[in-house]
This record gives sequence, structure tokens and C-alpha cells, in this order.
Amino acid sequence: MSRATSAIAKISNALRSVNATDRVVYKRLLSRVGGDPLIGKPTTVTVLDTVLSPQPAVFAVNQEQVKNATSQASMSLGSYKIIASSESLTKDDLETSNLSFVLKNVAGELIEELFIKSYTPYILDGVVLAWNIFAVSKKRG
Amino acid sequence: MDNKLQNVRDTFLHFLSDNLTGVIVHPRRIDEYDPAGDDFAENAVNVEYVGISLGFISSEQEVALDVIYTNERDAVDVVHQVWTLLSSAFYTPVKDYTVSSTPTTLDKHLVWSSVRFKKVYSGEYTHFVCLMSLKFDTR
Repeated sequence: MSRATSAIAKISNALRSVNATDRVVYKRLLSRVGGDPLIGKPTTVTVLDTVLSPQPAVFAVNQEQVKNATSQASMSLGSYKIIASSESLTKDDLETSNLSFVLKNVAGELIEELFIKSYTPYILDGVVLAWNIFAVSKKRG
Repeated sequence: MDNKLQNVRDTFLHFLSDNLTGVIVHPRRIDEYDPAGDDFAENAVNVEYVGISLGFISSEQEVALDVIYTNERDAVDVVHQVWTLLSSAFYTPVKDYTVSSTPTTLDKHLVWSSVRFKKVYSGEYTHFVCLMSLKFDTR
């Protein structure tokens, strides 16, 4: 087993144990078909929520982190830091413009939706182990 | 119900997009399904509807055109293209885009007068902005 594969397995197990949020985190993919995008008229909007496995760790950034951020433009109160295993998210996922993260309660009700602002990979031997993602909350259920 | 304001907004967007050859017309709007919907697009003519003034006989819809390009010569070329189009008639018939693929031409026009671009200073882009007023009959 390569070092990277072993590291990914350990990170995924750690994330399963930590469970930093009491919400269930899904990746949401949005697709629009038909209509007239120029004037903002979609005919069919499809929302596909897929539960992430393993669940990522989701933390709200605090005032101290905002103050010490190297780029104030990328972090403000209301931002979230997400650490996700490469088992649950791929580079293609993160580069999808229609991707967001949704947090739902145990009843399946949407509590919060997070949109990606930036992401950085943790890499070992050229393999992505996990993602460090900054996201911002724009919507509350 | 005939939504004159929506028809005017749709008409002007299509007027620009359908007649500016080789130019991306990027509408800026808030859209719950598109978090980047109100971002500026580079190398495009960005169109954002701003103030609205409604009257019994005539009304005005303000619109901001932001020409943002990574190359200054391209930006100037596009400004000239936009001016050429807008000055070709200073009006266009209003259409109803309820069925977008087959818009219906209404018995109304939207008109505009001055087209003035100001430069917005940016270290990364050449950015010209034009704030203009689209006038239309509300009756």
C-alpha cells in the first residue's frame, strides 16, 4: 500500500471519529435545463444532494482566525472551514461551478447552504489526501 | 398579466446579446441557484439593471454596462461596438419573452439617449462603465 493510500485511509477514519458538526453534510449539484439563461428564465432546475462519506469536518471560523488571516478578502465571520477526505470529494467536484454544501438536520431539513470560496489540497507523493476548503454561508433554511 | 418592466429588461438584454458579434454579454443578477450570478465577468459586457422609476405615462429603467477586458485595445474595440449598436437607432421594439424561443413583438418601444462611458481604474483590467436610462411607455 502506498504512503498516500495509507494516509488517506487514516484521514478518513479520523474524520469518521471526529464528526465536528451535528449536521449531516451533503454536496449539492444544481443543473438547469432549457429556458433562457440570458434573461434568467430556467424551465427545469434539478437539485441533487449526495451525502458525503466520510463526513467532512466543518468549523465556523472565529474572530481571531479572521483577524490573523493572510487574506481578509477570503475569510470573514460567516465563513466556514471544511476538511474533507479525498475519498468524499474529487478535484472535479470542487471545480464544478454548481457545487455547494448543504447541512441538514436529522429530519433531512436544510439548515444551511455553504458556497465554496477557495480550496487547497493536502498532498503526499503527488496524491491528494484531503481538501482544506473555505466556504461562506449564504442561505439558511 | 403583461409585465412591461420585465419585457423591457428582457428586450434590452437580447438586443445587446443578439447584435454584438463576438462579444459576451453577461447579465449580473442575484439568483438563488447561481451564487456567482452577480459577479463581474472578464472579457465581457456586463449588464446590471439598477434603479427603476415608474410613472403613469412613461417610466425609466436604469442599466449599467460594464465593459471589462484584460487588454485595453479589446476593451476600446468593444466600447466602440456597443456605441455603434446603440447609436444605430436609439430605440428598439419591446418584445414579450414569455416563450423565449419565439418572442412576441409588442406595439411599444424602449428608447435611450446618451451613451457615456467612464473609466474605472483597476490594476488588473481595463474597465469602462456606462450608466444609461431606458425609457418606455407604461400605458
